[in-house]
Amino acid sequence: MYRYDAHDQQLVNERVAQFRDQVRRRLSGEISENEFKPLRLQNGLYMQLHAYMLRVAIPYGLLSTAQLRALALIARRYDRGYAHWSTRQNVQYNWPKLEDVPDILAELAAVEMHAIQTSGNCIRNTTADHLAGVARDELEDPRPYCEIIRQWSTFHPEFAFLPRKFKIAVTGSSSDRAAVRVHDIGLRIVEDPDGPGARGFEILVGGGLGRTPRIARRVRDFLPRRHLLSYLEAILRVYNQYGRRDNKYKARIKILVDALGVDEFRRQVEEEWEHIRDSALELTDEELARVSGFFASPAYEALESSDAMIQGWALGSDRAFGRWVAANTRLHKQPGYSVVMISCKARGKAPGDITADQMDGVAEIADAHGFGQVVVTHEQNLVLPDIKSSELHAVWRKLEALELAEPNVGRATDIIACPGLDYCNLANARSIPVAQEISESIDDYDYLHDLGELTLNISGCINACGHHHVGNIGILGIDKQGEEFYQLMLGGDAGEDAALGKIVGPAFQRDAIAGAVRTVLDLYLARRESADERFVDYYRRVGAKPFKELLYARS
Amino acid sequence: MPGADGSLNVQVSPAITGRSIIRDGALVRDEWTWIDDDAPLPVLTRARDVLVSSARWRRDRAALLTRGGRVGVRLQTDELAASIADDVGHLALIEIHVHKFVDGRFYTTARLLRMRHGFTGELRATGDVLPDQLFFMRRCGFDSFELRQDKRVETALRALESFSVVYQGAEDQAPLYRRRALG
Amino acid sequence: MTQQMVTGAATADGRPIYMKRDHTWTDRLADGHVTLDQDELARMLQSARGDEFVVCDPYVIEVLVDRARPQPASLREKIRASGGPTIAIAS
Repeated sequence: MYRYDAHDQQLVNERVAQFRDQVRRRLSGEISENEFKPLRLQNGLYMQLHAYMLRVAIPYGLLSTAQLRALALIARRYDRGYAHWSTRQNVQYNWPKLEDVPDILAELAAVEMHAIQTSGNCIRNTTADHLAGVARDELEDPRPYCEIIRQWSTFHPEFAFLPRKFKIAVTGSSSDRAAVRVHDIGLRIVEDPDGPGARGFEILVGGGLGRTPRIARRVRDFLPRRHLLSYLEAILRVYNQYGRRDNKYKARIKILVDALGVDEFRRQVEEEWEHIRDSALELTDEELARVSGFFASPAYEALESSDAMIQGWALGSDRAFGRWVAANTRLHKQPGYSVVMISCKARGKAPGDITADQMDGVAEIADAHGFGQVVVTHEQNLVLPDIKSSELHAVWRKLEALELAEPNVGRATDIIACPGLDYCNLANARSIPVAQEISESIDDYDYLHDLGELTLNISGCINACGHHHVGNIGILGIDKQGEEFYQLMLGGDAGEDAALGKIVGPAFQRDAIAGAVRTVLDLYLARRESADERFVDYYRRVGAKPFKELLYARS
Repeated sequence: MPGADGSLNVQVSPAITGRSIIRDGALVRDEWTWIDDDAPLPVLTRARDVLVSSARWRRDRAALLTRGGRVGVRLQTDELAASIADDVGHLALIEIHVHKFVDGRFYTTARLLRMRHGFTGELRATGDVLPDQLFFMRRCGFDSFELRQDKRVETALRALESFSVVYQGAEDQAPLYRRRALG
Repeated sequence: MTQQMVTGAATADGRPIYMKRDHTWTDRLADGHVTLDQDELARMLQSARGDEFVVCDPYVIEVLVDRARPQPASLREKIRASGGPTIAIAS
């Protein structure tokens, strides 16, 4: 993984000093809260319902075990012993004190981490496929490009006060696990259609969720990779000048793309790009090689393929282990190795929360059985990317002891949920108790596994941090005269067939939403063509009608 | 002669307006005189270097260019670089009035004035100019700043030195990856 | 009946605090000053906005007063006043 050199370290150290000075000036009255707010937000510090919340950047989700242990230490020393994985591969602390935040940043800087631009109207943490570097369907590892984008965007002087926040995601695989089509900019690494062997990017712009959900529009089929930064800069420059600033709900780049039309938007970007494409922004081969070198594969042992063995376990007589293997491991590009998905969605727990002890435990496993790396997913789980398949049983035992072996990754109880009204200042309704109730209602593992691949996403307000629009089943909490209600959406998909879910009918009361979800699941199971027809495939085939009929039949 | 707001701005010398500008790491007295849109142009002995709005510049361009002193134009936040691009060769000062510091359009305006339109005169930020944004402003090509009145100059001068390392290229430096390669 | 009070987040740690009659602050909603007088509320709010050392983003909330004990009217304020999330935190 990327390691800081003296420049990188100096920069985060200076950031700590800068923020320490800003906090001191806030507490001494030299700057007002209104002036401090954008400064603290650009450092990931929010004001939530009960306390400040600090969001720490995990660039493209990748952590060393030293970093994970530092996150555990911060949770113990400065917070309440736990933390929360966000839906953009970051980590959040729910109870920091303002005066402690500079010290927390210093702890982070000591392990090459920071909280720079994790909020605010600036370029946020660049996210990536959580199977980057180990996926079988990967054309090229996206993380070197993410790191190059991270450095380009960190304290970019021109783009620190954009019309609104700006999110970039990169994938190098044919399966889209990075949800690139619902980002402000989505980048897909592709082969040059005209020159086989040369790589570059397909550029998608203007995707996003929130109040005005949009699937990104294609702005360029192929951009040679050396032009990555000049093209990004051209897009941002057009947006910074012409994105709306009169209404925060119409300020995202998707609205500008809507207003101009994708052709005119493309014309403006290309015109700007022509001016700068051959400038110092052009990436050098040396820099690409330097950064890519950090992401070289670890020293794998030469092993036989373990695919048949894994298949055997998944169907074997040890059902507990078999279920876990089936749901929580993924095939690895390297023969004899597996990818382990760690579920942070134990039944009845807050989705994405993890204790300091669990973090330390995961770090121990990654050191003992892997190469000292852990990945955070945008589904709020963790990945151990390089586990010898022969050690899967031992890893499973250790995860069980940590209560991190819930066999549900990619299944109906692997619920993505925002913090909702339990923590969030913007929320209209709670998300976590709904997630808990749904996961508790699916108490039969055979039923869960029968349901197969299914995403269920919950947001506590229209800002859609729980990505409800792109859940196969999406739930949106709303406030109706002071009471929590929940809209149910079906058919969303965050992947390569990205689609926005459609509201199925009138919203459900708090005590009815889990039952409504169960009705939907039961109907699908009863009527699907075969076990190969996934929930979203079934929905695409039959539409909302049968669900509607059953859900609203009795009312 | 009274201006529109009744002030005697035409007769006011720089020493009396008291505008203080941060330039080259120090606080200096401003030598420019702002002329309201409806005030007559002062004679050269009263005010050598005059600053006007873009509307005034367009209206009185010939008179401004022939009076002998230097000319500066003040842009508002919503006046983007293209609006003054053809004129930058005539101007010794472009001042951008920052309406609200969170409206970051002016950063692009500044960069385009420098790199696209070749403006080499003084580029100044006024209005809602706060210490914590000065570092970014300077990187985008600003070289002088009128700090909002309630802000401390010492804080501003310190903030200008916040970082000794920058990653991306701007108007001051090439991208770090091009400098890293040099050792 | 519905009355009102002034609340905000403590500058030091973001915890909810409530304004008392003397314009100082308390952690306990029950000790906050409840009023129907709009002029008084406006004065309280103005005082709160000038008190940035102590409080951030003060605002007015509705409370229901039952047997002299104020209760927040909205779910959001009930959750705030309860001191934490409605679910068990990870441990």
